[in-house]
Amino acid sequence: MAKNNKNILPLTGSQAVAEAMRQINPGVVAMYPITPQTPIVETFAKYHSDGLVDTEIIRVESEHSAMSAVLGASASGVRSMTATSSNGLELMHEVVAATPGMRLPVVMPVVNRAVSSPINIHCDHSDSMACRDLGWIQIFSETAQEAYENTLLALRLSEKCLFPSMVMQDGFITSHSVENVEIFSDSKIRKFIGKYTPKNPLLNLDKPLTYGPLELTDYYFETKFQEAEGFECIIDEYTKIGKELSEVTGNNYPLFEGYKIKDAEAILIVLSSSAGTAKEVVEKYRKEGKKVGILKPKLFRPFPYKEIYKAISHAKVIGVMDRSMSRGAFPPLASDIKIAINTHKEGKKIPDVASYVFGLGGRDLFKKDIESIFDSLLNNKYNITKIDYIGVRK
Amino acid sequence: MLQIRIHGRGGQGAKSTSQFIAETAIEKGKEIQAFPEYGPERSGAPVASFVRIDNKKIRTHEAVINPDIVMVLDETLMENVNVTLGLKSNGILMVNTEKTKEEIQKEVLDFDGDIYTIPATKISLEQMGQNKPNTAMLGALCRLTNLIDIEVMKEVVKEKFEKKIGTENTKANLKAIEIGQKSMI
Repeated sequence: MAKNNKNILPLTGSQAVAEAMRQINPGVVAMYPITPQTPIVETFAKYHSDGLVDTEIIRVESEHSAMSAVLGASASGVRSMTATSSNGLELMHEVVAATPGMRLPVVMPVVNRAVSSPINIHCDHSDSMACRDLGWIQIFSETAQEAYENTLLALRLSEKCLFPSMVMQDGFITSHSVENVEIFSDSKIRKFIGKYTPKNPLLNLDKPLTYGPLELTDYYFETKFQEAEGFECIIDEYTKIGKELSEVTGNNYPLFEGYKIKDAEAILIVLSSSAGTAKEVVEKYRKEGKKVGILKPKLFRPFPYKEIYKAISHAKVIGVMDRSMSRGAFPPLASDIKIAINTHKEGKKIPDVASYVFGLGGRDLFKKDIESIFDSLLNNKYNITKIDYIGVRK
Repeated sequence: MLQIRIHGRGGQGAKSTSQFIAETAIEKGKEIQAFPEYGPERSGAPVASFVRIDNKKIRTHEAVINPDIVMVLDETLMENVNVTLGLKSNGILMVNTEKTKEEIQKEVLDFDGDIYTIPATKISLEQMGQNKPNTAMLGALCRLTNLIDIEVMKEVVKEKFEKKIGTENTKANLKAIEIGQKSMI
């Protein structure tokens, strides 16, 4: 019952993504429940029952089947979506890996949750990080609003570049928290989305095709090389399509969000909802005259190395907060930042990069934790050769 | 920013209470956040939910540590749960109880802020014939902050409830909101 001029509704991150799916009205949605993703498909199923979408819903017996159904549907030539979390994403891994090789523009909201074992339903980013090298576009969202808009952007981006997309939001923190979400008019969004014309539909009898054929030593490598080349256009297309979406929403779609980083001596880099909490700390520290800032990557795959390097190279020190691990190696985001800096420095002096792991299995991140990281960065109390674990009982 | 923590038992509507508050505030153009504390979800187990209301965009996703208002839907929780934990010293504790303020104060000796009591279970039994104290508590809350308005609250509850529980039961809940507002001591 929105009485305000804008259509601002109290929605959870899950409901916001279901709204995007309603506006997209995909040809096929495959559904299998898993906490904390379930409310996405639950809400979408309600829209389906209410006749708001004419999607064919396929209720499958596992996530492996969900992704298989979506892959098949997408190859046949319709917009196809599913949503998942955690162990569900791991179970569908085989088919997740197969999708980019067929250049299918599937869009999949992922509600980030820790993976077993031990069993844990709460947020961390281990699930989608385990898929980061498979050839999917990955976009992370800080809020319910961003999750909604990123889903719309991802659809166009996937269809333009012919790669599937995952759109992440934090389990429970975003997916189950009610926030103000502005839903833009169906007509404007549907105009932005446009009519879908599949490039090489399987169900075109005039032009018979094979999807996923056998390619051994003769052609497999070429196909993979084409994927690598194909990925190169994504950063530019993301920016272009973001500008188009901007005309509808009035919001911006940068590759990453910088908050008070221009003159910052210490910059923290963190994904998703934690970036919001970190901005509050920056505001407090700035009032105390401390030159700190936050950088929140949005497009994570492909990783905008050069653009991020340019935005952070002036800092004295960078702290990178990862909500996942890579046992025996630096975690994903810290590794990417170290690469960004080292590959673009061109002989210049570069900032130190300190790596922090936090929030595994939904462990709370408090402002005081972020303050203590900034304090260690500002007071030279960090060790760039080690990973520091925040909020853990050692 | 106003921060509210709601204590209840699984099945008592702590989560929907937080959502009603948030939805009422959003109607007045406020920025909101409402979220439950997730654990093993069992009927009867202690649960909590949280609301933030502000005039500007709420960026933090930190847990609510120092609420301004604590609402207790089930007074028997106070035997096991420290309901005033982190509650600001000038904050407000509102309890569904037929006990007096003085009796409640004895249960929270370290708390110096204001205590309000509402016989919300009694009201709900009289109006709905069921122990569903949250609507009476919501009515009472409308007296404690001008960020939420009782008429808007009734609209929000009406819209949510009518499809779910029918016109008669909805009317009883709206009445409980009104009585709750007047019955807070």
